[in-house]
Parts: sequence; structure tokens; C-alpha cells
Amino acid sequence: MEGGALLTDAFVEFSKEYVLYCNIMSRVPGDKHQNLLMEKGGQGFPYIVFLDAEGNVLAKHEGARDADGFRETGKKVQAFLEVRRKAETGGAEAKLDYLIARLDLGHVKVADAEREIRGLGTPSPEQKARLDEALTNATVLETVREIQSDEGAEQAGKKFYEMHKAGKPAPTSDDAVQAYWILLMDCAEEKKDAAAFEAGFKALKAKFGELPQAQKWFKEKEETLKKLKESK
Amino acid sequence: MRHLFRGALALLALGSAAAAQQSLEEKRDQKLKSPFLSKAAWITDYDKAREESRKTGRVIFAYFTRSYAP
Repeated sequence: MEGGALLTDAFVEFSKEYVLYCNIMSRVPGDKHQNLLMEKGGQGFPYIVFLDAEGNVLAKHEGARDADGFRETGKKVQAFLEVRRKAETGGAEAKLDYLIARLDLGHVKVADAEREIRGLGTPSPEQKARLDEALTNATVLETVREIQSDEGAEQAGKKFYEMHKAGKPAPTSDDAVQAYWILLMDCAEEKKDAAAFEAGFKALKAKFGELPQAQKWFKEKEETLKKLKESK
Repeated sequence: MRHLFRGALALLALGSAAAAQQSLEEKRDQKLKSPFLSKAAWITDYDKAREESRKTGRVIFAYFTRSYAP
């Protein structure tokens, strides 16, 4: 990245809207802010976050590591700041919007969000729909972040499978969609549930079916689906 | 004799620690000369970056990298 994206004119253009800060972990005794990576939620390199002047993490950059990708995350940050400004002076509706935005950015745990929701009165149907969507995405991502082992992945798949079977809506954010359906499909295959497996296959095909690097995976899963249907 | 040998070992250890230290500093200084840092208006001091953010109202784009390993 340092020899590529960060050297481009597109990045320089993007950077004009921001304060650029580079933290270099040097392991040199006495160098300041050597633990900042961990303090800001990073576990490896490179790590990119958007911060406010107080150092609060506004968003972790998880998209493409180029100017366009940074700009996308930057837009989410600006939208978040706007909602935060409104919540500071607004009523329950603005506060609920802020909660939804915090859920979208992973700033609040689902359990804490659910507690906050109870104190914010009854949301409008439109807000309720957005809130449910944000809660679903956040639940999936929280579950995925807690996975530490193959057993953990299996448990997560089982949880997603049960959510699906209970008729709960699937996640919609790109990062949640992939993990949700892949883990769910593993569980569905184990349970020989062709319908659930096919639901995952179709959802992923619709979203990632055009990716050249995913063709082999789709081919394999298509075979598995065929076998599941035949074994009924 | 044994004392001398231990002393030599201790000196060697101190010497290699100093060499490693110097190496880390050199690597950091080398990193600070990376072309990407001069291509845009990067700040490498966290306090200064926050101060700049306060003054301008701009959000901080924070990039974390390391100099001790490639």
C-alpha cells in the first residue's frame, strides 16, 4: 500500500478532506504512542481508522485499500457525524437514528443497543425497519468476531441456521452477508437441509456470483446442492 | 577465569542489545523517509494530528504501520 495506493494522486486528492496521521510502531523505547494500534482496536498491519479530534474511532476501514475505498468509508463517517450532531440536540427520533448509525459502525454492542432502545419510545415503522436491519447486521458481525476456533465457527453457523429457520431476516451489509450465509450453508449441509443450503447459495450467487475468484467455490457448492437434493 | 568469561558474555549481550536498539532506530528513521510520507501532508505525531483536527474540524485518517519488520 505504501508503494502503491498511498502514492497516487487520487489518494492525495482524497486526503485534502482529512488530517492524515501515520502511526509507526517502531519498538524503539521512548517512542510515543506505541500502543495506539491496540487502543484503537487494531490487531495487525496495515490498519486504518477514522478518528475524531478526541481520538474516538469513528470507523474502521474494511473496504478496498485505495482512494475510492477510503472515500466510501469517509462518506459513512460524515453521515455518522451528521446524525451525531442531530442527536445532540434532537429528540427520541434523532437519538434512535444515532443508535442505528452506531450499530452500523460497530460502536455499540447489540445487548447495549437493545437496552437503549427501550428508553427511546416507539420507533416509526420506517425507523423500526432500519433498526431491525442494523440489529441483524450487528448480531451477525458480533457473532463472527467472537469466533476463535473451528468449533466456534460451527456454533456460529448453527446460530445463523436457527435464525434463518425461525424466519428472521438475513443481514444486508456486505461483510455480514458473506459470513452469515457461508457459515449457515455449512450447518445446512451437515443437517442435509437442501432448502436452507439453496437459500444461502442463491443469496451469495446474487451478490458475488460475478467474481472470477469465486467461480470454483460456486461450482463446488452447486455440486453439494445437487447431492443434497438427490439424497432427499 | 570463569568471572572473566561471564563478564565477556555480559558485555557481548549488552553489545548486541545496543546493536539491536540502533537497528530499530535506523529502521524507524528509514520508515520516516518513505516516499508516501512526503507525497501527502502526513503528520506522524498523534498529539499534533489531534490538534490539527481540532483546529480544522477535519476528521483524522489514521494509518498504522510498523518499521521493525517489513
